Amino acid sequence: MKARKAETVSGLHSINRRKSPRALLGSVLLVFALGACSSANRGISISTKDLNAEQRKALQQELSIDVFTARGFLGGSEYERYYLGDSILWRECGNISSKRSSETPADSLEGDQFLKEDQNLKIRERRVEQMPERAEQNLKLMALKLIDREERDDSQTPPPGPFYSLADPGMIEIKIGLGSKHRILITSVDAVADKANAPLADMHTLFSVIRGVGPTICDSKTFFGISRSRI
Amino acid sequence: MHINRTDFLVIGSGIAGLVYALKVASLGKVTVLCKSIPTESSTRYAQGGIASVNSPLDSFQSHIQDTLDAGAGLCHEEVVELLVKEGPIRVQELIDLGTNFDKEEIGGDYKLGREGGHSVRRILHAGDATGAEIQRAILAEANSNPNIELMANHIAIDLITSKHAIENREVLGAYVLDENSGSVKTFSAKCTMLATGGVGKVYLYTSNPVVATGDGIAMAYRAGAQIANMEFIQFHPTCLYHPQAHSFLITEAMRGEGAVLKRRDGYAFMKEYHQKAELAPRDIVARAIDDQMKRFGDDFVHLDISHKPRDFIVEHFPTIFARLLELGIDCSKEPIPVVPAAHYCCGGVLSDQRGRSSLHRLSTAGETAWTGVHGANRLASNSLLEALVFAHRAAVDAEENIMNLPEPESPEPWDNLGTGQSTEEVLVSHTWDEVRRTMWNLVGIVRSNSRLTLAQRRVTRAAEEIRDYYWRFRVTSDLIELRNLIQVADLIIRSASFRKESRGLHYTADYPQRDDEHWKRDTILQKDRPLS
Repeated sequence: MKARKAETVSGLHSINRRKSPRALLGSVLLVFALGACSSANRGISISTKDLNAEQRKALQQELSIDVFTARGFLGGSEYERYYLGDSILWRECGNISSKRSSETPADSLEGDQFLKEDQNLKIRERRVEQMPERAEQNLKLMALKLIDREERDDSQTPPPGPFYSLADPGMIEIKIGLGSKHRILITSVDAVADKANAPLADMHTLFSVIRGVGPTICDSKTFFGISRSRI
Repeated sequence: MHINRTDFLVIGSGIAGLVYALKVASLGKVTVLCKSIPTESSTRYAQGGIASVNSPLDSFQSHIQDTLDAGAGLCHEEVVELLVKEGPIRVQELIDLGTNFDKEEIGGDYKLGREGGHSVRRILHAGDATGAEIQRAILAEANSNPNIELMANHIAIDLITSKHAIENREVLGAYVLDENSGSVKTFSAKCTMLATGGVGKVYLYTSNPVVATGDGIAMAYRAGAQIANMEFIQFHPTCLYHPQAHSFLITEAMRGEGAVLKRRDGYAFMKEYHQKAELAPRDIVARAIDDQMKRFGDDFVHLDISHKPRDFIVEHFPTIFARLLELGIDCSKEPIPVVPAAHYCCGGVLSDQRGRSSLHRLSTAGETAWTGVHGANRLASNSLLEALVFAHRAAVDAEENIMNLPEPESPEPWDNLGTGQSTEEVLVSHTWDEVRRTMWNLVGIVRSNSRLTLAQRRVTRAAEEIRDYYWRFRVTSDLIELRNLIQVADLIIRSASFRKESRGLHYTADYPQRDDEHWKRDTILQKDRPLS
């Protein structure tokens, strides 16, 4: 009688797996890596016991953040851009070849025109990351803080500057959407890097958290004094 | 008898199988069965690309809507949403594994293609050989992983299941023919992943590689798993017709660049069928070619791009141009003989959002699986994305759930007693040919009640003959594949006969209209259960 149909034998048997030392070591390392990866990806929710009602509400709201920053150096100008929405972070960096044009996007805007409305932006690298839950929650609280400050008109930030030479202070534009609230914050890169006052320090923290998600892009660990923070 | 024990038994080495293997390799020992060499899978032949939202200026909603529009009312919207929203991250992982998609000459941005049914450019590609590039990257990674064992020339015969009633039935592993030694091995696994690709070889003409014999779907059905929507078979309009070239696809982009479809007498016929002529939707072009061939008794039609400059053709279609030249066809000077060909199966082993089949410990992904994404017609370049996303989801399920299960029951070893060496191999080759011609002529692009009835009769007879042969003689790879082909042919015919309407890829002359009132539903088959 052939055992060609699905059949089984009663009784359970434990599997005695034998592995070579190399395979075992590989397994241990892989399991360790997976564990590290898993916890980083899933994140850990932040404790809400120390939060006020408004902060707890903010954690439940949809967050979108769009950051564009550019600054000049000896060899030209560099830019970075980030867009966070649906818990996905789109990242892009590159160079600005010459003065930015003021042309608006074409009518037939298509997917490959991501951030290319200004044809002077030359993309060097683009990545997309799943936003870690804990980092996103922290960003929501930071966003709330920045929005509140704006509402109180408590933001004392210098204006943005040009970004075509080393002497230019550069510009950074952060668009925040939290629930129904939307704000646009614009200042210079150098001001954010210097963190001379509380609003600038908050912008610095928010931007460095966004920069810290995923691997480094364009080999740029810091963007003119703004580093990558891990949460 | 020796039993080969592994934690994860992966049947198939295309994108779904290998991505799953790479992701579960950190959890335990993974055995990947390749019925040929590891590179031989449908993934390798995917010319187009992989669709994914690549920027926030595209939108998830747009990709979702394009997928739903193509699916003709049968897509499961919540699953489409999962696919589209998880897609970008999975594609990034593929890039991180070393897949080199085409980039712009200046800067590092990806070149995105646009294909039929997509409202924006969102197709990442690597020339006209995207699948081969993906396969290269993931196979290199799998080869270097000490927890993954790739076993070439191992063809699965059947899944091994527990004796439980169908609701509680567990898959314990599989019986596998080792073609290197000719012996049958018994594999026991904590979880079995079916990722065997499509069913194209059930038809006379197909764009699929020779390994696409529906093994996973056939084995799953025999084991008692639910199978869905097998009537929806996508036909690519233009596959090369040449005795020495099996399954070579002539990309639809060639029509987009001006190639014209002509009868053998030179008449350009597409304008009779659609105002967009050569740029009509894929199913209409395939149906038009089929109609011309059947009406005039021709074996093929011509696709003519010879009016374009040679440099233009070489630049746009380098792989195709070179391959045709090898076969003695200079497409810059003469037309290309083409036929429609079975291309993609939108049905398959019913899978939930975690890649689980209806049987315990049996996961499935890729073309073998039916997830609810494609509905009655697949949107171009969504198949590689589906394989990626659901292989990942199945791996997450393995980590969170399957690893916590107790060890499976030990399967009974394979028993060859009472079988002999076949002396009538001609029966296998003859039946193989007969089934594929029957499916092509009677269950192809245009179906009817009478054609389906005749096809069912012939396939049922073939099934009886091969069942007898299977029990009397030792198994060979040809016999295993034929047995699976016949099983899949039967599932397609029964599903097509059941659906009394035309929708998406299923067109029947007896019910030419779509009927949402009665047929906006999936077709589910399960062994020993009435079709529903």
